Amino acid sequence: MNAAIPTLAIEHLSLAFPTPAGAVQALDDICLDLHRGRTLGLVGESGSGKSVLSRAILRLLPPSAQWAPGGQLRFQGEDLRALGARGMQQIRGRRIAMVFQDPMTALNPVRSIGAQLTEGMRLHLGIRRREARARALDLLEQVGIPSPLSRMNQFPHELSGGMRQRVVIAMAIACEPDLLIADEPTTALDVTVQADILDLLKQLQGRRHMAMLLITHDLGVAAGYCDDIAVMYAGQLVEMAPAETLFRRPRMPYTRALMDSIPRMGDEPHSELTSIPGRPAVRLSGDTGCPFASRCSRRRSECLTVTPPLSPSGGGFFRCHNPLEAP
Amino acid sequence: MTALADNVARLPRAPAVDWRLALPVGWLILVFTAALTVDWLPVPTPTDMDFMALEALPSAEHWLGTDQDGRDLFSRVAHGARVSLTVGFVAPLVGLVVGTLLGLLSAWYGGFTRSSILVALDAMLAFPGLVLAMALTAILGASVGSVTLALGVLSIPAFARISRARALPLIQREFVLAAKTAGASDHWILMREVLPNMVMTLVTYTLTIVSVMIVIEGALSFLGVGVPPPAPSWGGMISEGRSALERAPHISLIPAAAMFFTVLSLNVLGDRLRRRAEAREGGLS
Repeated sequence: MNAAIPTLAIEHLSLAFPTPAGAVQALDDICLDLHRGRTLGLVGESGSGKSVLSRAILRLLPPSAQWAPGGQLRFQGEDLRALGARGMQQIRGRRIAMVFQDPMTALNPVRSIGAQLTEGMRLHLGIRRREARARALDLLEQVGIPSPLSRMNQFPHELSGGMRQRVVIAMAIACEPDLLIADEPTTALDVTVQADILDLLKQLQGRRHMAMLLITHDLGVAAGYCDDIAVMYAGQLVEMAPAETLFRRPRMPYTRALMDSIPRMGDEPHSELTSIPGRPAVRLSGDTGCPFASRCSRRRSECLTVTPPLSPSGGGFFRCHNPLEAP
Repeated sequence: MTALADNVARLPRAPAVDWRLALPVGWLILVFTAALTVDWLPVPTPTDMDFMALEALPSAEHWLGTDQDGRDLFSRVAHGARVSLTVGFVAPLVGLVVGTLLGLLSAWYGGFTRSSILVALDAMLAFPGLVLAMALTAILGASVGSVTLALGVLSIPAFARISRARALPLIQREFVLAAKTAGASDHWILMREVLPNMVMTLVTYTLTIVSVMIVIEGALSFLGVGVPPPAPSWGGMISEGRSALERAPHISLIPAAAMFFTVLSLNVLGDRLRRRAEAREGGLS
């Protein structure tokens, strides 16, 4: 595989969902590249389009979704939107895998761990049951599950939340995918196991040179585990930069506001949490102007009428007419 | 020593016999055994006529008495049980397999597939069941096989409705999305992910419908469109005993009682199973 070709390349991708109130622009002019061995954190509030983007990459959108003409969605140079249903089935699970938010609902309650773990390998790799079981044991060990042999015959309800998420991760990496999408992998877990799971993902990713798209609404998680961070708001990527740059010098006021709303250890006890005034915007097709304008303290008149273009900056880009000062 | 004595005292007593479980199970075992072993028992065949004992009451020679033609009622009830049990258990299997398949398809696929299946099911439900069964047996010819098939077809819509209703919420669950994400085909998802979650519901309903099937088979035989005479069936025997109801009521009452207790036992057991299934499924989600 040519190292120069990004694992995931998205260019000017737009997607809308028709609703009675008009077409909601779920993805608006998305551009991003994700290379082998890198982790991209996708950060945003609920409803900002993070999950739609992950479903769009896997082409698991409801049939009402409308792609805008133009734009590109390429996986290892291959145009995913040109693939038929069969072609996508061969990519899903085999080359792009996903870890879900809630491991209780992502596992089938009436089927044993072993059965769920081996079926993907038998489906995609065409190996026999016995070989698949051997590999499954190995996988369970790799994701840190003690006494994997007895776990194979257990059912999801017999495992703790953290263990279940480890099983989900084992299922995701079973066929050695090139891209792993983790959709809020720790949101449903106890805080105490969150770090364990994230460390495990990071470690597996490094060992297997996967590209990882880590979707989260927790900026702290993104800061600790990602190489690059993309901030999403109302269907747009409003800023993308290497993690350190983004935290040190955010350019887009929304990124700044998100960071300010993280409570700090140094804050006085009972001091009020900082919040962003207003509510997350919903963008309809054809809307112009910056989606964040109505909540922004640095708003100028053009922010309401002209959609800010992508401005390159320090290894990434941002969208803003009146950015915070450059370094 | 005292500690041990305390522990012994605290052991739960052996539970009393649960008659509501033991009686129906015992009755069903009895009926099954009689149906399976009657050929080896020292009783006449169901068509032997003993002209010395017409309309006889139960005795050592004829355990349950005889009918107007002197045929042994025990032998006939046991042979009739074969018909009733075959129809009662095989017909729901037809409905189970076909109905579940239709239900799954109509839940998974939209558009033309779904609407054509639902329209066909509605049409079948709107058609009077007994008339449909009579029409089918009239076309296929009267035999155990065709009665079974007719009743099986009759039970398809109910099974399809139940499996569709059960499948719809399951399809929305995340493990189905997870399977799709893992590259599973539609067929794989329906059979491996969705169907195993519906087994308990479907098995419970199958048991419930068995007793309904036995009653309908009885009604068809009573009306003379079921299993043709002289082969014995419970419905047919009740019908034949009608002419002697005043002189020898036991000719009708014995097969009626056999049917009554069998249906009652199945219903009691089905109800228990349903309650257990509900408790289990409540804990699953």
